[in-house]
Amino acid sequence: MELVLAGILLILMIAVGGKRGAKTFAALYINIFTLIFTVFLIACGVNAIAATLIGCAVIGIVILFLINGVNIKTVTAFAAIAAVLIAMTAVMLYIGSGSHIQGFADENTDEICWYSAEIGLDMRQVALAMVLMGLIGAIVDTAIAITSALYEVYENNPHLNMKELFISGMNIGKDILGTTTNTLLFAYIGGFMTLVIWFKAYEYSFSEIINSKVFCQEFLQIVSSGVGCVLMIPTASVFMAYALTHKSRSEQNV
Amino acid sequence: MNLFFKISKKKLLMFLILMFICLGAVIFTANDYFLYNKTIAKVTDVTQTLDSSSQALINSTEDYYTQRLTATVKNGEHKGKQVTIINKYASSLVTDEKYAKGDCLFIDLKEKSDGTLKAVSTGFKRDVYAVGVVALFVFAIVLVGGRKGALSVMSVIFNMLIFYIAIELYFKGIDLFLLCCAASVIFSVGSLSMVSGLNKKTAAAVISSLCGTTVTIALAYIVLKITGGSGVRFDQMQYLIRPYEVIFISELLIGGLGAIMDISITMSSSMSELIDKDSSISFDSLRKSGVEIGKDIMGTMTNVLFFTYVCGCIPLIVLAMRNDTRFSDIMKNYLNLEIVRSFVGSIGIVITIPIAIFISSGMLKGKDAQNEKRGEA
Repeated sequence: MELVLAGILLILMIAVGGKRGAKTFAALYINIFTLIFTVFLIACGVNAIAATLIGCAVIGIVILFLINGVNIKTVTAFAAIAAVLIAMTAVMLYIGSGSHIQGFADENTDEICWYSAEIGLDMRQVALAMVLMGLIGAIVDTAIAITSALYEVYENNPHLNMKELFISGMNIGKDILGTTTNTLLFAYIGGFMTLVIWFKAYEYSFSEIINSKVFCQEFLQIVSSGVGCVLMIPTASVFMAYALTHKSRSEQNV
Repeated sequence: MNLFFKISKKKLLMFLILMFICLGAVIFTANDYFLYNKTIAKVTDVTQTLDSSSQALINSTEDYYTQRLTATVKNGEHKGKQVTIINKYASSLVTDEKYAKGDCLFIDLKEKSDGTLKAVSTGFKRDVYAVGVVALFVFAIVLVGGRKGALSVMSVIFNMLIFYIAIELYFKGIDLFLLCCAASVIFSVGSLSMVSGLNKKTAAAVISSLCGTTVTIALAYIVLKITGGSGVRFDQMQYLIRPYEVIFISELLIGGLGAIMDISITMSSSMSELIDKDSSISFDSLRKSGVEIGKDIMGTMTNVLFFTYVCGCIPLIVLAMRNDTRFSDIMKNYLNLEIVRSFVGSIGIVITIPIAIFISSGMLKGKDAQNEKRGEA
């Protein structure tokens, strides 16, 4: 089934996007491969946080440089992604281990009963890997949206200084906020539906839901993706405003 | 950066109030013991002993510990008393919990015949973290987005409310798919008008997103029927307790909707921007610009969906890999389902681009043509 869908997707992407469509499709598959490889490294015992950060860097490089080419927009976006990713790692390291979202809950017994739980691997780090992987797509999207829009602004008004550029980046960001939060919200609700039906069918109370591990795993993931996107707006604006004004100064010197 | 010095006193006050509300919510949930019927105990001291170590999978060791927790009961009739809880855990924490000082646990208390209390841990109190991340999110989004940020939060709450009502109605016996279709219409109209106001641009976006969603779901349904869902283990869907087909299609519908709405509004806003700048712009050049914009957003959006869906099964894949499960089984059991989801969403994204170009250029240019006629008359 997935191959038929992949075929349809490839045809559509080429029909709409031509050569770039084909590249986009290739990038999607490279990302699937990168993700599997990262998870494989984690399963082999490589430090999960290090493996995830490297995996995220590769994914960022693929999405930015393969699809959009190497230029000031993508390089700045990459720097902003690295900054936000490190900040989110720090935040989630604290919240993730504190909230005990590692591993599996009683509700997952059916899925994991086949496996030995003695895996000799810290599941707290795996949980962190899960959260960080979940937000990489969204922060890359926000980063490139801001840097390319700011680039257009600067092209049309090259006299703008760093502060004006930053403010205009924030304004662009405000417009993105509404749609990005919706994209994330619905994508997660789509995956959430069986769980909600489960809660309802087994008559979980509100306090049971909000304290349960399965709910918190999903919920922390959703909200941290949202936080990552929001953080990305000022970060990408500052970085791009700096890069644009800095670039023009060095060009003037030459 | 002297940007923050320019913020007016009123705004500063608003942010302070917001900060107090967010902090207040966190502090409240950290101390909301009286709200619970279950007994809660706060760990005050931990002593831990290593029981044994054993050879675990793939040249690693698994350590087994016993924790002796001293905790203070925080609510109920035994409030204030000290209890001792024994907790055993294995170092990988696949299904176990390791507790630390300051953690709050739900416990079962039994009074023994000699008057001493016997406590067993039944769960971890996570509400403060759930509220904490929400507070962090709301604070950040309002700080960055101002009024628009607050509006986004409202839109999220509105959508969750609609979703909740839909699930309630589903348990009243109404078909889930029909409910999701109805909910999608409300979602699109509600969130798009919240994001960009009530105008023709929004109308074009709503119509494009509904058309895009319909085509996508029809396509997904046909593929599901033709292939019979081969290659994907639907019975491995998490928490599934009812027939999978309706739930899966409904999930696809809702899951892709956000991204499709995003594409629709982006396309219709840029179309209207182009028409505003040059009202005599031809359909052909509108289409060309639209395709260029579409190419730009297509790549990143498809990846947003992919990572959002796939990340959830990472722990399961790690567990399966550690247990030497064959790679093809891992793909079949866990990954393919999420890949199918993200591919359907991606098809939605790509197919909506031409649909949105066609609908917005038709509707928005029609508007301008009428305005011109009125202007002439």
